[in-house]
Amino acid sequence: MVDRASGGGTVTIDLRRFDFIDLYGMLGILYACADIRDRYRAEVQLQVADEKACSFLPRAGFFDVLPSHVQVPNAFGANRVERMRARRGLNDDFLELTSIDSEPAIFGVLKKLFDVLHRGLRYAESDAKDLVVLLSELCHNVLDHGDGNAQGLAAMLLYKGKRGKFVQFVVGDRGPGIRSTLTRNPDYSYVQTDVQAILQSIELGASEHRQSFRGNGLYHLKRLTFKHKGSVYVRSGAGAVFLRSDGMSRRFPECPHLSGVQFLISFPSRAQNRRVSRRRA
Amino acid sequence: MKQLKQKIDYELVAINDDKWLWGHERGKQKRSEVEALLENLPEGASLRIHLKTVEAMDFSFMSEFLGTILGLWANRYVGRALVLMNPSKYLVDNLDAGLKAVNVVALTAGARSWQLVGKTTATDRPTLEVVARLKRATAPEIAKDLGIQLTACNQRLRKVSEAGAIIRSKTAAPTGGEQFVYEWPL
Repeated sequence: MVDRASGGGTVTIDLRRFDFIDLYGMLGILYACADIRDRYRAEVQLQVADEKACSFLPRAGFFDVLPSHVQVPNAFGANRVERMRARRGLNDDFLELTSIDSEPAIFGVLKKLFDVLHRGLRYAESDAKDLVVLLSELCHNVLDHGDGNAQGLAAMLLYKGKRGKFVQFVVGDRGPGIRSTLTRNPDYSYVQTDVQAILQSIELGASEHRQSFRGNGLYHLKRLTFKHKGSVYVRSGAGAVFLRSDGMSRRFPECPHLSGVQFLISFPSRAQNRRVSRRRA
Repeated sequence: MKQLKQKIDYELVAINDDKWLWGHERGKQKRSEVEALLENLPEGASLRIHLKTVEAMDFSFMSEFLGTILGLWANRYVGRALVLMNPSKYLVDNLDAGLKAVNVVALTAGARSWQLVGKTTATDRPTLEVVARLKRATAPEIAKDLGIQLTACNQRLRKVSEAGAIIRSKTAAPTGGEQFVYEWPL
């Protein structure tokens, strides 16, 4: 996919064979672009399919969070991106890629999410709160462990799959990653791989801090995800883990390295009646 | 905040009247406010944290705020009690899961009932039911009511008083010397 990389030059990422890139894929591309900049000091050129095929990119706010060193030649007209930008926040079951680098930004995301789930999708209030609490843990991890330069992003989408409708959250950052963070605590110095670190981090009390009350966020993430019959895919460094509420799990120990941590969480939608007027919402 | 005899009330609201409480940083802010109250709370008194306006809190906030305070209760604040007042049903369930994960218990109370949440054992609630009914009693009186040995009763009472669920204070025993008296905080 990557054509060439000469120090200080331009790296081209060719995405033209993809007709559709989902939110999690967008996170990966964004952080890969930033990694390329950091490692090779190179500019990045993204080549994407025509705007008809890849119309979800501007709709998801991809170009609004694209780092300035990334160019997308001739793919999307400025007018189209501007039109999509004007629709930002108007969809009842969609949260575009949104920066979560501050408390107010996180609060905005969580509030929007609650509105989408409870008012838009008619989730029971307690279920909507569960999912918002879950997302809060992830968003605050970006601030807590990001070392001040996390470039955190979050997004949410309702989509229709083969097995019904699903709600999908993505949260990602470019922080130090789970293994680096966890092994700051000498109790976890035995952790050697990213997969090991991910699996350890979702256990009760696993934290960079030694205080007994820390390190429960990802444990509750798993607990609540399973409570709502969902699945979670976590990627950090060169490892990834997939966990599903029915007990199915997969480990991916040799992924291409990507800075930070990226979460993809999916739940079967519990929407009872999708026809909710915007006024009522 | 108002002081009524041996009870101090603290209304837990977040910044900007937000009804949702998030994250470690906010947990630390709120904890420091409560710790300042606890430093001046005399023995035999109780602190009532009012949660009526709180819709939800995440586990980071909960562990930073309540986990830390309750985890240190036995060392710092024993002889006093802490009660979480008027939490919603959702909040009670969340507190139960969150406090269980950090190995602490807390007493919650509504208009008509109370509940112990977090890392509880099967003997905690019957013990507290007796203290709640007697309002103020010594260990032998509570042991007699429960129909258990005094040693076992002392262990139970020590656990719940060191958790901050009831007030334990020393008084003069009728036979001379000192004895502990246990008091219901509501």
